[in-house]
Amino acid sequence: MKNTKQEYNSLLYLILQPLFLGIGFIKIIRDLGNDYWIGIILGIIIGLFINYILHLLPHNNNKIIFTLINVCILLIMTTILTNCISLLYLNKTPIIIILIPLLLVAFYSSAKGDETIFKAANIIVIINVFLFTIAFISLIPLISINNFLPIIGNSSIINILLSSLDFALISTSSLILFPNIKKNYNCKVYLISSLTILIFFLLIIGTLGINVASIFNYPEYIIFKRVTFLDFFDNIQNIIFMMWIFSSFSLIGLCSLNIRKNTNKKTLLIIMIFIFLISNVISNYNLFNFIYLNIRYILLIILGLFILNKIISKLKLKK
Amino acid sequence: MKKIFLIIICLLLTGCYNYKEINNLAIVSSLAINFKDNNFEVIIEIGENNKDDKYSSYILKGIGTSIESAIKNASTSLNKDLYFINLDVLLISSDAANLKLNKILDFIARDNNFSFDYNIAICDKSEEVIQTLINQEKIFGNYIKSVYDNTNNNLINIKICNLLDIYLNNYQDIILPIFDIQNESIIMNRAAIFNKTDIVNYIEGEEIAIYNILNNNFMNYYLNFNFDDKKTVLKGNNYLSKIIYQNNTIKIFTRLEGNLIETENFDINNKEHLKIINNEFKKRIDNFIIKLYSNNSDILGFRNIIYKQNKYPDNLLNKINYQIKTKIIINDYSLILDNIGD
Amino acid sequence: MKNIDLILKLFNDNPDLIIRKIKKNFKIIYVLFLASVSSSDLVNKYIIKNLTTPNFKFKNIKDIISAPNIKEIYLNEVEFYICSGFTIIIENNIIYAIETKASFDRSINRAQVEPSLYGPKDSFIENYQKNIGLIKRRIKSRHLKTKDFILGRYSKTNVGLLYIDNIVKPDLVNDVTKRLNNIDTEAITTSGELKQFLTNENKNVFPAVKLSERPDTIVRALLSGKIVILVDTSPFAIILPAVLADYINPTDDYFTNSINTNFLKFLRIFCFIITIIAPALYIAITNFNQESIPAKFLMNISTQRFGVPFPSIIEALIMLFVCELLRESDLRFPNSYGSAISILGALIIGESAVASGIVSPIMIIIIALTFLSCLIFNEVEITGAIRTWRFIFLLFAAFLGLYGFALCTLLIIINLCSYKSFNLTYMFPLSPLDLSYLKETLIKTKRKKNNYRSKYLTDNIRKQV
Repeated sequence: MKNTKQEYNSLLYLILQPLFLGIGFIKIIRDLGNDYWIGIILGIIIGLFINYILHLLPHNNNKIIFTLINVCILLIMTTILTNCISLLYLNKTPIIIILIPLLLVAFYSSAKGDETIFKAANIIVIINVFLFTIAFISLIPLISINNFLPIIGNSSIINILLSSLDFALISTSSLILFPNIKKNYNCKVYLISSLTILIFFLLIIGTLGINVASIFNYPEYIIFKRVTFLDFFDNIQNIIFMMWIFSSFSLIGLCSLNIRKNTNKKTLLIIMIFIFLISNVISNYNLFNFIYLNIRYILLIILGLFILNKIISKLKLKK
Repeated sequence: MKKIFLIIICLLLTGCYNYKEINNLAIVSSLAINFKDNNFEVIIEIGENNKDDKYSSYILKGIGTSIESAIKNASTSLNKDLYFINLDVLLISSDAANLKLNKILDFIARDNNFSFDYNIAICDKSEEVIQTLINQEKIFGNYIKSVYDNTNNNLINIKICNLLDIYLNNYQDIILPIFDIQNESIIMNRAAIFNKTDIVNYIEGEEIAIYNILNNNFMNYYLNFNFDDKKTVLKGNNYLSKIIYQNNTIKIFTRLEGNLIETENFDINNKEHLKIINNEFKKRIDNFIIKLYSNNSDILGFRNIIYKQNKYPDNLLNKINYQIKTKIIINDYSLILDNIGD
Repeated sequence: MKNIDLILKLFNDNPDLIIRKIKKNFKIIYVLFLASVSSSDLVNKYIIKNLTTPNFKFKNIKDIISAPNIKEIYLNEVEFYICSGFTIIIENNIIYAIETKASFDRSINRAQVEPSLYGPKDSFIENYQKNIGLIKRRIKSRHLKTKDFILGRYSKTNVGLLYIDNIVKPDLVNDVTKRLNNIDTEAITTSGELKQFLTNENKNVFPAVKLSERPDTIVRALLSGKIVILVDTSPFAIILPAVLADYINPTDDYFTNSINTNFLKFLRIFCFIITIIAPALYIAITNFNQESIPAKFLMNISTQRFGVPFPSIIEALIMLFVCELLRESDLRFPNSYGSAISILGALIIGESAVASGIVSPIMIIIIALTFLSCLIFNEVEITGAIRTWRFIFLLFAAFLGLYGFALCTLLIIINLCSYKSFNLTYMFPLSPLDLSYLKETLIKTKRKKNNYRSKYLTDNIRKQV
């Protein structure tokens, strides 16, 4: 069966969020302080602009460069996710044991054909929305308006512009992996996804306050620690946090699918072994720190590679 | 299906590194940290329940140069793994609160195994206090938690999330309750006020009640005063306070609703009488704030309120003007109309 | 040689072959039938009586035989017809076959496997024509078409394909016809065996076709654009294509109010999820992430697990094994042996296992909840599939805790979304989100809002209201 427009929209909604995990939230809160909302709104506008440009580019892809882009984003996402899980869920387990089942499940999902990840996204969206609603409803009584004041802090304009560029890059970079952007693109989904991220920011600042939120590494996990449900279930943060695991996996699955479609099964296996070896040699935290400090430049290089990719393929077509 | 079995076989080759049996968890109910002679002394109360539905607990002690080493020294020969998620109470000695509060908060915030809703208090004789309750066959942490959950007495209730927020804020000072022991019963009606990181004074009794009113903390408030040389008591049920900053002064509005519990010759409809009560109430709040000003301890957050309106406040509290307005509404005489006897 | 000698040679060893020689009008007419499958009453009524009465001359045997179904056949078809209960008449070397089948069927009974409270209680029996009759009684339209196949070299079973031709998609009919034509086997005795040929059985544990014994279910399936296959000598009909939402949804829901029904549908979906994840979630939470247990409950569980020597995963496996034993023995055991066995089962699981310290009471509650939720589904294939996935979830949760549970959730979602039953994704009303089929299976709306058929199953989407 062909994929419907609704399935494309679901997967698009899911892959625009997970790059924020561990990097996006804390970078903007620490850089801007009380002006985070200005940065986010500017970031959404810049993001819409980037989306429009990507929408106008031609359809074909050069296989080698596109595979390279997919490998980079796969590496980034796997590092972020394994670092997160190793810190929050299984803190004594070696990283390899967390990494291998993840890569195997991603390999399995790529083996199942073109359409599986889209249909799976439909169902994962339902689960994510359900978990997010539980968290949102339980956290609203804990928001105090005093935490939002003062509305405007004292960051310089350059910092605001750079952080809004960060937000735009992080939230739109995953769009380049999406098949056939021209036909399937819809700017409403980007707005809904960014709105979800904005609601997350408002929840973080509202419940914790700007001072407490800046000291933690994963404020999006800390707010879930304060969720209590029916006065009986508390500390269910590990169950609600699974929404981030699911959306991260959808991005990893899409990357594996693209690599497998553009090359063959063996190349995907070799790339996964390569990722496994990298995590053996370089400590996971060093890699994660490197990504956190340089995310702006990494994503700019990836976008540049993508545009280069389209130019080369258009030149080849003209020949 | 074969691929799924391959994944399962890979799983079987892993070990269970994070596997912990529930029986092997020592559920910590309260933790006390003292600081003496450059060493941290840690007292851990571990709860266990026997099969007869009776709850009991025991204490472990340890000394070390850092908090983590002290905890390790306390539990070297314990046959279980310490489990801090269900911690109910954290007790700190006054030395530790003066000198090492930042290290303690650092230790707590860094560890994923601490939750965010337990109480903190200052206690200098923590071992005695905990041991007294153990001798009465109760678990200290559960007891304190149920006191805070179930009663409306005038106590100061500080949880870790509030404390972290105020501590990291440059424009407000913290306040911590003090637990003490007297004749085998625990006394919780004093509190310590801080100026930046040092304890400067103590407040008790009526002042704690005024602090709760100004913070909208929903405890019962009993206003005792003399009216015509006879004692009258007003019980406040509902109150609402607002503190705003306008025209370079802090304005405090308080509205108190209540019933008269003990009274003689007090007439609700008489405006003169109401004025007397209002002035009495105002005087108490004023005394409280004067005490805070003289110790330069900003526990009510005046400077924070000024900062939230985008102005930079002074470091000294004395330079901030304030103004108090109160309103007392007495609903009725309670159940009886005239006095009995007399 | 003459035809009669050839036939006698074929059926040499059959003691129940009866031959009657009748002389009529200077000709010899042979009447042959098998006494075990033909009804001697009908043979007498239609044939022998008419042939032996002194009568006028006739040109054609067909004019005096009073049976409704007479055919002229060739020599190589004699074996099939005489074994199906037909009587063979040989006259002038022309072979005629006349239908005189004996009836071996029971009468139409109550439905055993899919009972219903307020619906019709008749169910299919083993006779092919009577089953088709039960369906045609409910759809009186010329659009209901049947295609006949004869499958199995030795059994030569009658298999029929039913569909409504202005609703169903023609590609589906052609696909199934092709598959049925490619079947080459010795015998097809039940529709369960035929099911194996239609699907590629090693791909997935979940079933792709549904079996049903109630005519009203079949009628609804036909009206929404599905195909039904009936097999002679089998009281179950095959409905294809079938998706997951069909199994969670019995036919009784059409008789009740929509608010009441929606609550029950929600309960069934919830039970489907609980029966797969409950043991795994319990083990993941109590062994890896104990903070999710409410504090008051933690001490309780700790007391209950006090004397048990095994780790939780071994307890869970033991209890699941015992419960599967109980369920399997319940199926096979004849009813007349009494209730001693159920008492034995209750004793094992109940007091003794807990008192002797092998399992803890909380584990018994979890496993009992799992099995009670599983009893809602009465189709054997679904319970088998649920059992497999329950074990996979258990293994993942036992090694990697809640992270393993999350990975296994992703695994089952990917597995279900990649499975196609006759070009229809298995998670059909959810995955390509189709509101019209969703309103038939997973939620129930008012009658006025349910006017369209699903566009994935049929091209004729407007129901004639």
